[in-house]
Amino acid sequence: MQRRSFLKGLLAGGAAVGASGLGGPLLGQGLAARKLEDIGQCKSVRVSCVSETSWFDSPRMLQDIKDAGGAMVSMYDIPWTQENIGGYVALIEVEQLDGSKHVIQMDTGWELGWTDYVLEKSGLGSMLDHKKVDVLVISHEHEDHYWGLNSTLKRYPDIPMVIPNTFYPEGKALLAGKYENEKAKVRNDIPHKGPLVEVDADQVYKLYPGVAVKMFDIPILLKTRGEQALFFNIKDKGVVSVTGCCHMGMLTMLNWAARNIEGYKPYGCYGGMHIAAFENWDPKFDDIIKGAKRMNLTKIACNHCTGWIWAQKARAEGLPIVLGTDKYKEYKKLPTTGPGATENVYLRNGDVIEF
Amino acid sequence: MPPEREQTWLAQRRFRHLAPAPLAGLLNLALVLVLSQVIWYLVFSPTGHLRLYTPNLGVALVITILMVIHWGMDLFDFWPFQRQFLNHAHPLAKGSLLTVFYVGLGLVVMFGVYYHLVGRFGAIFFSGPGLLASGGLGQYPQTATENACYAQIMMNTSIIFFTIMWLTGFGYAPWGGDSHPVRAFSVWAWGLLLAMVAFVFLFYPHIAYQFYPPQVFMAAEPWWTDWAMTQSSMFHFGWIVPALVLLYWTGMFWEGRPFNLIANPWLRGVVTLLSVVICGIVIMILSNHVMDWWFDTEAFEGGSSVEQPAWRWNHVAETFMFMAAAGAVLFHYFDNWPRQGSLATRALVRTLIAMLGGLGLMWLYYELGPIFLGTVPGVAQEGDTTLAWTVMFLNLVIIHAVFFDGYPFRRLSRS
Repeated sequence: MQRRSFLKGLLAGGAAVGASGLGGPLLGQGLAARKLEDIGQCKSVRVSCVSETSWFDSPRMLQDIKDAGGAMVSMYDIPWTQENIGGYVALIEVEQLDGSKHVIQMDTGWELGWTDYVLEKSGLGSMLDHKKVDVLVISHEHEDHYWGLNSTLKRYPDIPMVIPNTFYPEGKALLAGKYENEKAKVRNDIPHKGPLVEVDADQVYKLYPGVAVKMFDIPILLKTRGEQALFFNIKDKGVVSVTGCCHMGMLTMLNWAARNIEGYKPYGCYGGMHIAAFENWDPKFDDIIKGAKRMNLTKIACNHCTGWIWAQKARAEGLPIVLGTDKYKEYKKLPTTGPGATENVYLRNGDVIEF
Repeated sequence: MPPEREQTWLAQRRFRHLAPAPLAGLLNLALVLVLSQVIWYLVFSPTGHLRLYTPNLGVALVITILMVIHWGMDLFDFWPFQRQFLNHAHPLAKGSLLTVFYVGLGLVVMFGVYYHLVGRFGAIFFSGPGLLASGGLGQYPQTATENACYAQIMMNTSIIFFTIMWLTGFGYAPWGGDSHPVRAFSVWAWGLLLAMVAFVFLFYPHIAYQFYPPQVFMAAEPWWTDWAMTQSSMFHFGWIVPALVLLYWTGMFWEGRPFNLIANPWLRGVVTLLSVVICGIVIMILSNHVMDWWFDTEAFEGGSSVEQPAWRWNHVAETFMFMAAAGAVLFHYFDNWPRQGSLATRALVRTLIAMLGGLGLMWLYYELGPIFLGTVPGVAQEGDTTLAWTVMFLNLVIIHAVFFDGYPFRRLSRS
């Protein structure tokens, strides 16, 4: 690594003579070999974007956050502009090596009207009605991924669920069907009655052969804690991640997979990557493009909070960003975000990707 | 410290404690902790009133106030306030007036000079409203404010560093023969100039590249990327802050050593500057090694959370501000203990106390922050920084101990 060269240069200069003594043994002790997780293998994964538009207008979303006191304020304490909000839901179909299939729903959207609309339009609503969804995985407690819970539970109240074990009391009350917040406009009066798994950061929760959930216990803006990602180990291809927002960071998540999943081979990712979520930019985001090039991914299917600017820059730099279709234009509401993009660098509402 | 700085009001103050020495210090510490909790709730807390912990808005505010306090306390020797007033006014009256004056001046600098003067007629990136008014892509209410405050934080830190560095190393040279306000104004202007030059090289490329598309005609691409593993100018913040803390400790704990062994102010100044910059860089690198071990992972280009190089560099600055805060408590409230023994021993013990105290304070911050400050458990939250609290706490210690004489547990001795 270049940083190593820089360190060595300084060490050679004598200014940091102590560094070799301090850094060496400590690194050796701290970065000891770890046990790899065997999550098995599956045959293929198909991800449908039920909805990736959690908000339709970025300036309005940020005005709501700023007016409430900024990104450190609890999301439960923000009077969100209801006309601006949508939600995030993904439908994942996994084919096992023996030909059997599993259906996973990731996240439950936000605004109930929009969530009901996209569930019906995508067919996921009907699948929930007929209990054809095997498990609901909530990536994290953020409003746009979780507050539309009512739309799912009213169709399938005993759906098995997997959530991070870091929810705040408000999030747990929502799950129990005992929460209503007039200020933030969030409510749920249908208790979850199915099996519930709360994943902690020390475990790798194996859902099915080749499918695992990993929770990253990290602090997140708007007073949220912990996010989990789905990992799929696809035979002859490699590991694919599916995320909600990926607040843990795209490359940090992949770095974890590379260090912890037995037989790890990079292949692809789907979901929000939480980089330039609001068309903002920071020099750190350029770092992610450079770092992603070293990850040797085959397919990067991004949307939601990734930021079209990042996706467009990444594609221009040669990263395998998968282009979306125009299906999202068939939806009743369109985002104002992204009209400046030269290509459709997002997998948008209604798009599907096969891994 | 340079001889002329031994004549300042700050250096000449003597106190009488109204309680036995360790008890008075503990009482003062308890008082300032309570005050910090009240101020945090009123001004910063995400559940409080003003909610300035956005976080950059709050960080910029407390760093601006710290800069103005340094100007008044270290550079201008409280001019235009008279010694008669400083020595004989009731501490509550004096403290209140000085606090209103310097905090007010800080507000004028931040919201007047940066927001509506520089940010309106010059460098727009210093002003949230200016960026917002530009209407450019991504310049939305929250990001515009945070970006502008980031630029202010970096500029103000540079100003503090170069002002304190000049006073520590060069004293008032080459204006030592001038009358007091003249030489203070001279060093003030010189500090601003040096900070602006440093800002151009160390932070301006970051600013130009934090927009889309990058402002390629305005600044070079960040030149430090290969070393820092990031384009972020946090890399420079990560060594400037430890270097600044070393300057603090030179005056406070090391009683001017080793630099005051050099009689020639120019040589002393150059040696001071080079020494603290080199030490700052070494500290930053060593700290990153420690974090590799502590977090059981290395930072890498494009990594996030504790693997993000920019966060690592910023965390070095955060850690050293905790140590600066702990050092200020030792210096102001515990009479710079120990006072006996050789200078080397005194300096070593004080430094160790400040470092360990800072680490202890940091541990408490992360453990108790979710309860008292409204933070989310864990480290390396995106966009967050501990500097809002540490710099606020440091300001409060200085305001209480210097402006208010440490009232009510300590009074100025007039003998």
